[in-house]
Amino acid sequence: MSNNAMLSVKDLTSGYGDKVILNGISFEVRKNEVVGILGANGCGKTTLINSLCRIISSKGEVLVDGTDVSTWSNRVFAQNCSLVPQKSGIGIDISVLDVVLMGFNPFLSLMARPTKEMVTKAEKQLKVFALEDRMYDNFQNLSEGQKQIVIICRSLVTDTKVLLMDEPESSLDFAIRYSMLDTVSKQIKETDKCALISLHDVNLALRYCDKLLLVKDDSISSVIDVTAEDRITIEQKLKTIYGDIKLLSVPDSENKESLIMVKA
Amino acid sequence: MDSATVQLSRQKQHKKEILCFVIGSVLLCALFLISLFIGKYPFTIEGLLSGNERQWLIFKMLRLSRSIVGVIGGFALGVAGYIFQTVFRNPLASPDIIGVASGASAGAAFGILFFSTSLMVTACAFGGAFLAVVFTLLLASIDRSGKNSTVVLAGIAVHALAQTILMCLKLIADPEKELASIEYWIMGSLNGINSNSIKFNILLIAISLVLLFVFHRKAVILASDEGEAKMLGLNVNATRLIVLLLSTVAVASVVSMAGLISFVGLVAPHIAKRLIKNNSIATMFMCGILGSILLESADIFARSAAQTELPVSVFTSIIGVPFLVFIILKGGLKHE
Amino acid sequence: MKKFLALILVSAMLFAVGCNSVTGTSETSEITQEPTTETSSSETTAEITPIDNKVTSYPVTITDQAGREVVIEEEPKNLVSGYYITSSLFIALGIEDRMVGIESSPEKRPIYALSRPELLELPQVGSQKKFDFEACVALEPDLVVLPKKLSDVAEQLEALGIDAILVNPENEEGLIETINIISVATNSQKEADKLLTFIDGVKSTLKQSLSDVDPVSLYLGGNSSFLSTAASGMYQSDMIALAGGKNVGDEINDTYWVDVSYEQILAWNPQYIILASNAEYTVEDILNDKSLQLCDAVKNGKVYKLPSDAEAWDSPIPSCILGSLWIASVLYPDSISEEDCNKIIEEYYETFYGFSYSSIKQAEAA
Repeated sequence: MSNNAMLSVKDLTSGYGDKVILNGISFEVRKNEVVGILGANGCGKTTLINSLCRIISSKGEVLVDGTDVSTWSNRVFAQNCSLVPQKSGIGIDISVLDVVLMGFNPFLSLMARPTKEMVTKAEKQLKVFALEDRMYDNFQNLSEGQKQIVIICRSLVTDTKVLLMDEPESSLDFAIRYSMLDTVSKQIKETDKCALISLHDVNLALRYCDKLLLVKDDSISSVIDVTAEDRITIEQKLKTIYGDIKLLSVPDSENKESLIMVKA
Repeated sequence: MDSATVQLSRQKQHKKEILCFVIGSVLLCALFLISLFIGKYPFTIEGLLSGNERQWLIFKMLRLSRSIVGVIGGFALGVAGYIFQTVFRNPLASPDIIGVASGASAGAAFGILFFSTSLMVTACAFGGAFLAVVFTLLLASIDRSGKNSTVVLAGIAVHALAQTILMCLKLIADPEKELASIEYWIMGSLNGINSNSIKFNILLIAISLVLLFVFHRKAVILASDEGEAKMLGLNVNATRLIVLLLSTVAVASVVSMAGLISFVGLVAPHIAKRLIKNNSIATMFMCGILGSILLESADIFARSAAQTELPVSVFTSIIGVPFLVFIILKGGLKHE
Repeated sequence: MKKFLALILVSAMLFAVGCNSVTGTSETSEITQEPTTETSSSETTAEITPIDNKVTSYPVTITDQAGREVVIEEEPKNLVSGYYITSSLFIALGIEDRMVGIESSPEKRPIYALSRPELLELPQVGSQKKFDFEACVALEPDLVVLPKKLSDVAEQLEALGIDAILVNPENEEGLIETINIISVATNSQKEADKLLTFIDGVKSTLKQSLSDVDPVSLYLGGNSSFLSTAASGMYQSDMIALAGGKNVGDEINDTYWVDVSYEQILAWNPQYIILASNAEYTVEDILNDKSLQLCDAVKNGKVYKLPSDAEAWDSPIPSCILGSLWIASVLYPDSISEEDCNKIIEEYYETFYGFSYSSIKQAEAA
């Protein structure tokens, strides 16, 4: 086990009621690493994220930066891990800036209000995603995609070590998916964070993730090291989940090789 | 749009909001002063200025207390309405609909039937409101899926239950005496208020309002999904319980002084949200100011429109509905 | 904005005016009825001079207090009273042994237990709010007496061939009319004359004794709340006037209990406060009410509650004259002594209800 593992999960078992969805899952995510979770619909991607966030109860050991999280309060946990849910449930009129500032809640005492410094950070974070001119707009008036970006800003704005994202691309259109994940992965690499992202879009995952966890039948069937493994190996592994597919290698605008998956 | 235009439009919006606050506060002060000089006892300015003892005593004990309760009670109902709508994430959630108010009225009816002293009626109203909230939260906690809509559903169920209890109590009430008391109580009035009976309630309202403003930031986070709120470092169930109990204390204190006052808790937040955009703490404060304006003006009519005292809820609706329609129409036209 | 405010004002005023006019009109239309009967068509004022041989000859046509004409073919044997006022009247007229049904919850009115406990065992036919039609018909009554509010029930009974009379004793005049109508319908005119003579006797005693007193102002606290009082059109207002007092609530034109504020009471500043018989609060509550400390009646301890030991005298029941008598004895003890008052009350209940009022007071004291 490497000593710079930010998030390490050992023997995680989880499910709803008697139904086991995940059985004995172990993996780890290192500092500055973006790890994707791939799998068919209903294989347990969301369950895995929710179990890690302690939204649903699970058995097993979860360590964040080497510390067992089971004794942490919600507040301490939130100071270390932040979540981007599939869709935010915010249902009231509130400004975009205030939504981003919510991210600082675990760092603020009951009486405290967000500081000037926090506001500046939030503004900067929105600027990274080119949403700074919507800062004072009503969150409810944004498109679903923009809302999602704001929620991503909320989870990136603080110094949480682990970023957990549950299919963040689902409400984004094609171009924004790429720019969003591009920005996120850059920020993960620049700061001392790591990210665990469940993804639907395999091409997106192949492009921006360092490692991919393939989930099938309540456990991780295989792990792909995108940077180290060759096209054929990756293709073989992906076939176990997606069936009859082919991986093509195409050059992107910077003439770097990039993999895309197509139906065979 | 560059950042300069954003800042400019922000400043414009900010100015508009400040203007709303100024107009609201001036209107409220004016209404407060007017209400001090409208009523059945013939106070004279000369009499009060010359220190006529009888006039002063009556003024302080009855007129002033009634006007103060109009302002503070309205403020509490408006703020509580905002909190309920936020925490339940439902624009229809208000003390009237979620079961708090009907719990309080069922409690009061119980008190009228079985104890009949005014102190016990007040205590029973409090008890009813609390039971309703606790029961709502218990009912909601049965569902482990963590959906926020469950809480609303539970609230509506408890509301229906409280209404049924109230109906049963009315059925066994003596139509000549108790039923009339219950009906009068349900219609709401600031009539019976005097300075001795309100001190404790006002204190309770003040404390819970201050705490609600302290908890404001957390209450807003409650307006997201349970898991999301948890991952923002919130102890969701505890926070929800605290915030709802504080609002309930405020509402129950008003209800036990003045009976059921409908509509203020529902309409004040909706008007406030249209005046103050996306600034939750300012909106919350505006809710209070609008609630005060609504209740104070309704009470002025209730005490002066006829020879007798009229139920204040009649006027909160008469004044509130056109105002809301006006605000909606204005907003609608602007969008076109 | 001005227009908008005007709109609110107008709608508020319309509302208030609407409330008043509705109650106002219903009041005037009710007391215009004159009872006309075959035997005593000109005798509506003849109650002063009792005629020994007054007997109803059947069939008799009666115009009830809703203006309906009812033909009663023969002397009714089985009576049902759906109204506590007529039930009490039946006792006073000595025809309660013909009753086969009574209004709901008679146990709440002590007069039955005191005078004719057997009436408590009778089948109940419901109240003004909820009349039990089937239970009433099942008793196979010959005559059903109901309050005017139940006019639709009367129509239904009529359709089934059961005679029904609607009464509306909402004031003294209406009560005397009720007594006349019932006595003719049930052939109990002699007893009715006795009752009316007694009432008139008390009335003239009051008039004579109170001829030279200065009217004192009086506030009547209502049953459900102290902050409700009798308006000018209410029976209670006449009762106070007969007792020589001035009802401060007369300023308000209405025919029912109206809600007022502490301020209003302090502005009136009555010399006496009388609480309704069935008031849910006590004299102590009023004396201790901080809001009323500046009211003369409270300052001087002049707060009294109408007795409710036998009946609530502040409702238009046959004994209602005793309410005026009792208030007069409170307001003007020099003109009408407590002793005289008690003597008349004692005589009334001994004569018409067959029990001793003073003994229940004694029993209570013991």
